[in-house]
Amino acid sequence: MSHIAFTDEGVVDEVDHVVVGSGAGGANAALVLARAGRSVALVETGAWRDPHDYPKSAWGGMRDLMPRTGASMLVGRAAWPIVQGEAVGGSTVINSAIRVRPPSDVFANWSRQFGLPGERLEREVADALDAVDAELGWEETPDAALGRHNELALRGAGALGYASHRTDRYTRGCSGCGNCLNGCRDDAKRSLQRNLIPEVLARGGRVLSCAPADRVLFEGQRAVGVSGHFRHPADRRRGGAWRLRARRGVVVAASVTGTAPLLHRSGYRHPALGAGFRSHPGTGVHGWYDEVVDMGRGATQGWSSMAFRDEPGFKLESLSLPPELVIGRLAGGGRTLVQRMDDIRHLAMWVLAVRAESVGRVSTWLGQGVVHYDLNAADMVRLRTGMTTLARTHFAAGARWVVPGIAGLPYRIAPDEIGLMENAPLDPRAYVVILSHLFGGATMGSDPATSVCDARGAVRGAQGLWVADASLIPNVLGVNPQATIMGLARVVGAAAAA
Amino acid sequence: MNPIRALARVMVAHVLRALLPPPPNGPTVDFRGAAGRLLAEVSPLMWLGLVGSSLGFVLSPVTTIGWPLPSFWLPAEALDRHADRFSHHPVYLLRAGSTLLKMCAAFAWGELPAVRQGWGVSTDVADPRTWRP
Repeated sequence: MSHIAFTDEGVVDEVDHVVVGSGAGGANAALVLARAGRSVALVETGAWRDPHDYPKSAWGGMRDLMPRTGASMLVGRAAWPIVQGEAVGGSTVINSAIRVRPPSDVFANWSRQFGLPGERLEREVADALDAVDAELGWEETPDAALGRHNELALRGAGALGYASHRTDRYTRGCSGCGNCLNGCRDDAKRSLQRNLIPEVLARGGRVLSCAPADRVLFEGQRAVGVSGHFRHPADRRRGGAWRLRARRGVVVAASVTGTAPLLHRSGYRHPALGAGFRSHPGTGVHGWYDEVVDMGRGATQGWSSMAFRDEPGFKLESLSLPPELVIGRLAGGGRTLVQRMDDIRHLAMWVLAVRAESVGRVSTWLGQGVVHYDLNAADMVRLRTGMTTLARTHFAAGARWVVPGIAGLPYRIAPDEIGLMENAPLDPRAYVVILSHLFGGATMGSDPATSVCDARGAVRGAQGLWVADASLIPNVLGVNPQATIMGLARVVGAAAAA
Repeated sequence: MNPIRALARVMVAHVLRALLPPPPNGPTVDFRGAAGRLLAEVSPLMWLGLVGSSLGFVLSPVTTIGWPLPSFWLPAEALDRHADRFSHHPVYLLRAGSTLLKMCAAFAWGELPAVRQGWGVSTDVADPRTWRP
């Protein structure tokens, strides 16, 4: 078994396949390759952290587990943050491990819009996810982990008469400690550095952590390896150079913000590289309850609803944030804000994620990925409608008032003032939104002129090069993407192993 | 210490305190220490965001409360009004910056076990800062 973290020494090695990125995509592609008997090297920008290494403070989570200490932003009318994980295991370390299989309409749409073999992909992804389910295990959010903020959400949705449910998650024995975003110290979450990647190592694979990839190496059109330099996980100083030669090929799964820029700075050119960026932009509405809610107790995202996925086009979920992040979102400053901190224990936060139709792009600037993205008017209406739906749900659950978090509106809104939210401005700068589900940049499709990859993730115009992350996905799913990414990555891994 | 870094630390600490000031009989929050640690640990982009937003706070009282003075020189009452209005500032980048600054101010508060107890969350926030070698 072999793991190399930061070192000042150089590392040179040769394997069958190099996989760049160890998140939901890269880890699954590497596993398929290792099971096929290939020697695999998995390289990851972040450090390998086990549960006893996970940070405990809110700032520590941003510093230790996110790229650029959590300061990745998109470029557009509004400066919204992009939330991703940077660790061995990728975002599976910091997300809520939500398990939702891609609905059939996703594949039908891929066939219709992008000429992909939707039926075949649906079957292959379903088979792959059967295996993922069996290997990782999952559970519906159990009673013991529900917490008051999830119970209230179920109550509110029930009172309004729309369908909602406890979230299915890749967890085993979740106790509801509410620390998903900082990594699960109970080890109940099935983060991939704890579950699938150890099998890659056991099968003779190698993991290089703290190892951002500089370039994919080409000989002619064939990808023959990957090179980079180690980066220290604490002081970020540059370490030794590493160079991995790949006898059979390279699989890139460096995330939507990383894959297209890596290909670009490696000299690969395609008119669609970086195009087709899409997302599920999300924001939250807090409800204030007479009772103590303590949203930090209970599963971070133990409740969800797909009732509005098709029309108007958003999904709803609970989300518990650390108090520090909640305070940053509350309006006001000075003594006013200090007084509002007294509300913390009475707040429940529920969020929506828009199934957005807006399209952006991922460009490369100084070698780094930059996301250019703006929501169009229809998506802004969806965002506002979703927020209003959340506010109504809070009131139906018994909230005394809600905190809309929209610039220009009062700090708190009573039930008879909900019209203020319905008529809130559609300027994106009035909203505090985050992007955590990202798609595109190296999309798959049947048209060589408009898609970087084919239906198996093979990069057009190159040999021995595949993409195996959400960069492949040509449109928004309207559901949490982790399962879809894992399923697709296994399909790509099998193609690379063939 | 590099004078620019020292000045940045003083300025950020001043802004964090102004945005989330402890009440007279409240906890003793170490904003200076928190600002120093944050500025040492953040990525270059976040450093620019923190320092740039803080500079915006210091220079903008004329746009919020009509006082043509840097926020360092405002009396307590005026500083408090400026802090409140800064978070509603019509200039988007300043308003967005206030979100970052308020979160960082809350990081400073959150270092105190008594404060965390009041928030109903774990009082143990000692980050191990370790990784698998």
